[in-house]
Amino acid sequence: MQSYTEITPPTAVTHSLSVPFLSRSANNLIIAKYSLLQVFSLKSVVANTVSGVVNDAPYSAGLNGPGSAPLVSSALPRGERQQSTKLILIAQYELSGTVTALARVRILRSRSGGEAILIALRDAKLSLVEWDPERYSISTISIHSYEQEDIKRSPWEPSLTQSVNILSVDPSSRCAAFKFGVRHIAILPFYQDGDDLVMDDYDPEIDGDRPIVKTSEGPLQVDKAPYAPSFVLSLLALDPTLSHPIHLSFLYEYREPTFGILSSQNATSNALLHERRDRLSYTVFTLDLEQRASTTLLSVSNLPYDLFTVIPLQLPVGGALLVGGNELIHVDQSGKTNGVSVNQLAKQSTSFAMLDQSDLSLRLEGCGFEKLGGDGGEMLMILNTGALAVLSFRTDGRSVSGLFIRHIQPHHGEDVFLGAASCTSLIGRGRMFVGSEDSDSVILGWSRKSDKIKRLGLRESEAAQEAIDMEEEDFEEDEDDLYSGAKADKVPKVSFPDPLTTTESEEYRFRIHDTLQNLGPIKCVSMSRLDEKKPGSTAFSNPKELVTAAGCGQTGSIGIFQGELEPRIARQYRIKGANAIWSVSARRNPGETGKQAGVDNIGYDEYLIVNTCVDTGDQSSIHSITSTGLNEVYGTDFESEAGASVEMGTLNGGTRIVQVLQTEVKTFDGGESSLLPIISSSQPAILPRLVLHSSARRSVCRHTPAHWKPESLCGASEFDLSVVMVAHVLLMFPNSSCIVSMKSFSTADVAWHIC
Amino acid sequence: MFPLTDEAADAEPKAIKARFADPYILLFRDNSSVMVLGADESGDLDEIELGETLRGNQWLSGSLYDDANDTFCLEIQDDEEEELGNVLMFLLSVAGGLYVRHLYCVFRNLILYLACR
Repeated sequence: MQSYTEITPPTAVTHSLSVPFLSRSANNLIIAKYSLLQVFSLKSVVANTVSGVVNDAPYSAGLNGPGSAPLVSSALPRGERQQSTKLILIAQYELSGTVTALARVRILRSRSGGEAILIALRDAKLSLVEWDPERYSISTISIHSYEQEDIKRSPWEPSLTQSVNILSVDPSSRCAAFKFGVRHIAILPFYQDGDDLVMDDYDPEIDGDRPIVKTSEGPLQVDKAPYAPSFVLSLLALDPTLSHPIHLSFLYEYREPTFGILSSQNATSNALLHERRDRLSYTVFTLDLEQRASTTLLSVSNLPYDLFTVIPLQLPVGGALLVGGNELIHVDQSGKTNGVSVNQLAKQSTSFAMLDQSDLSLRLEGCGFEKLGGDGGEMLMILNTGALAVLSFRTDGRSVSGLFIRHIQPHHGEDVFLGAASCTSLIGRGRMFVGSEDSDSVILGWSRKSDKIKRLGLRESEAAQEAIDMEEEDFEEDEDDLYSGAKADKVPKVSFPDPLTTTESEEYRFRIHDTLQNLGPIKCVSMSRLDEKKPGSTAFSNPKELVTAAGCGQTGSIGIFQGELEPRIARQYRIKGANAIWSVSARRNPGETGKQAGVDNIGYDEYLIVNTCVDTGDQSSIHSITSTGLNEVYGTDFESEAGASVEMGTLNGGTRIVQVLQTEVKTFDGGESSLLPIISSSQPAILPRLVLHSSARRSVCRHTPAHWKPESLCGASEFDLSVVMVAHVLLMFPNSSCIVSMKSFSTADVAWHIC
Repeated sequence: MFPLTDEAADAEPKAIKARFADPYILLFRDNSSVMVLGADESGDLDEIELGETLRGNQWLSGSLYDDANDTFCLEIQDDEEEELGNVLMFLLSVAGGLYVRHLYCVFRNLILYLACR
């Protein structure tokens, strides 16, 4: 039963993922909006900005790709060239199910050459999806459903729908871990190229027949899926103390798939803090997929109760970052911990040894984290109020010795207004996508003056701007490649700047490149009243509007929904009996703009041709379009009584205006203010001559243009009386306004008019 | 000026529809036949000879398409392409078939689809 209508599809972004999806070298962004999946590609556009004023670069992409003509006319002073990244929607799909996680997986022999994505849906389902370039659409490789585990659960435990799903994929794509239910985990192994090396140790006598591994190139063999069968185990089988898992994530820089899991033995509770304080523990397990066994690498206990997420970090920092509502704790590969508390509550709720930055008074619930890509592995924190802060790591040699957080101060009015981030994805050097459920999702770009100065020193570039743009385009830089798991041995040389002394040139400046509009969350709705249309109003019709108050905080907005497009009438003219119109522009040379022709309207159409139906028959009239209005143009070769135009168009780059009538095709030269017919000497059949046949007289009259000698034909006995002649000739002599037209009919009378 | 006389018959087939793509005009007449006119540099129109199949057939509708981005990936020699452009003519016959011709050389039949009714 259809009892409601959806006005718009979901606009709040819940998950995002940066992945080469369409091909191996593509840079795509996958966005999930509850049950809507969108695939975007990214495009760089360059815009000129007047220096000192940072404009939101409008979309200027043409089919010529990046570097198309600057939007601001070259007459303005040349300002800074700004490069912006824009989102281009490739495809969108309605999924039957709510997306709870997105992860990217590198699989063997994908159809597009790029990577595949794993979509976790509520109710414990995983879907492995790749891009099919032949159908230009996504295609599901496999669906993994774990709903049968629901039957085995105890009746007092929450159902699968109510439980939290956590999906994590190993950075080398060897397997995926999916936590569903209360404490079940499913491991889905993927075949990778390195598996064949492991198989060499296979001893057929002991382990049975060696399975044949097909290594042929080409499209995926039907019987060889890119994954091995998954297995489900209870977390208690890994470790009996993992009874209340909170979050898990695979870690970087390990040879085997290794994940860290944040858990506790009893449920955490604010009310019982005086008794159950610091009961959380963080354990790192290594999985052996062949044996289906795990080994505990390290375990850190007595962690504060409000930690809610594990963020794995790449080199140069390494380890994992545990985020809680009142503190941040970094655990490195050896188990050494460093924490920082960010508000007063931390002291009261935990006795974990941490640095004290409670003067910041931050609340880290709902905070988004993303790498900034600086030398020191700095990370950007997007707080739930939309404020920005930077987390830096103080190091002692190669190990982290402390964390430091500082606010980002608004810079010369370059405020970026963000809402709380629901997801973040790094899409390139200096660009990240921040998705939000509370406000518009944005592409946030950042830069530092000190980075530009450093690069200028390194290369003597003719144009510093071009160097910076090239640098920003270079996505191959390994130190910022978030997913370069294979480059573990190439540790980039880093120098950690002292976080306490941040000069202004080292401060980050943020700019929004593109936004995805979000219409919610709607707080209040109202409808407009339908009044009578006021006389003299410029509205096309009476608009019916729905007004909403939406958003939170600095990103709050009022939205107006209208049922139809409401054009505002700029001018109105009456042309009696009109039933078709065309507009054409006249140019003297192909490709010239109106400016050179000295016409007021640059590039706009100049003439309006109207088919009208009047008593005497169908007519076409021509009007010129001026800034004051439409004026009918007389005195041209355009003949109104020739009949209704079938079609109007231009040829030869706009220099010839063509009118297709029912019985002929006329071309006009549009370059001059008057319309002249094309006079061609190469087509004798259409010489500007009138050939009259009349039943009464066997005479032929011929009119020629002024520069030709008038001739008279006489006694054209070769013409047959019964031949019907259809030429309509319109001539305009340059120095006189004589228009000669001729109508021919099947028999007797011939009439010709001179106006 | 270009008269649309049909020399063979007495009747004058009237033009009922026209499609433009620089430098060609595709005309549909009321006897379901088509005519293609081309304009040269000075703008003079000249009828382009169509093959027997196109002339004799009856057409419902059609269109001209200037393939500026080479969407159809035709393999044309570069020197010839610059001269004559890359305009494709799509015609829908009364029997339901779709004919695609390249106006660079009208006798080159690109794709012939015969759709069932």
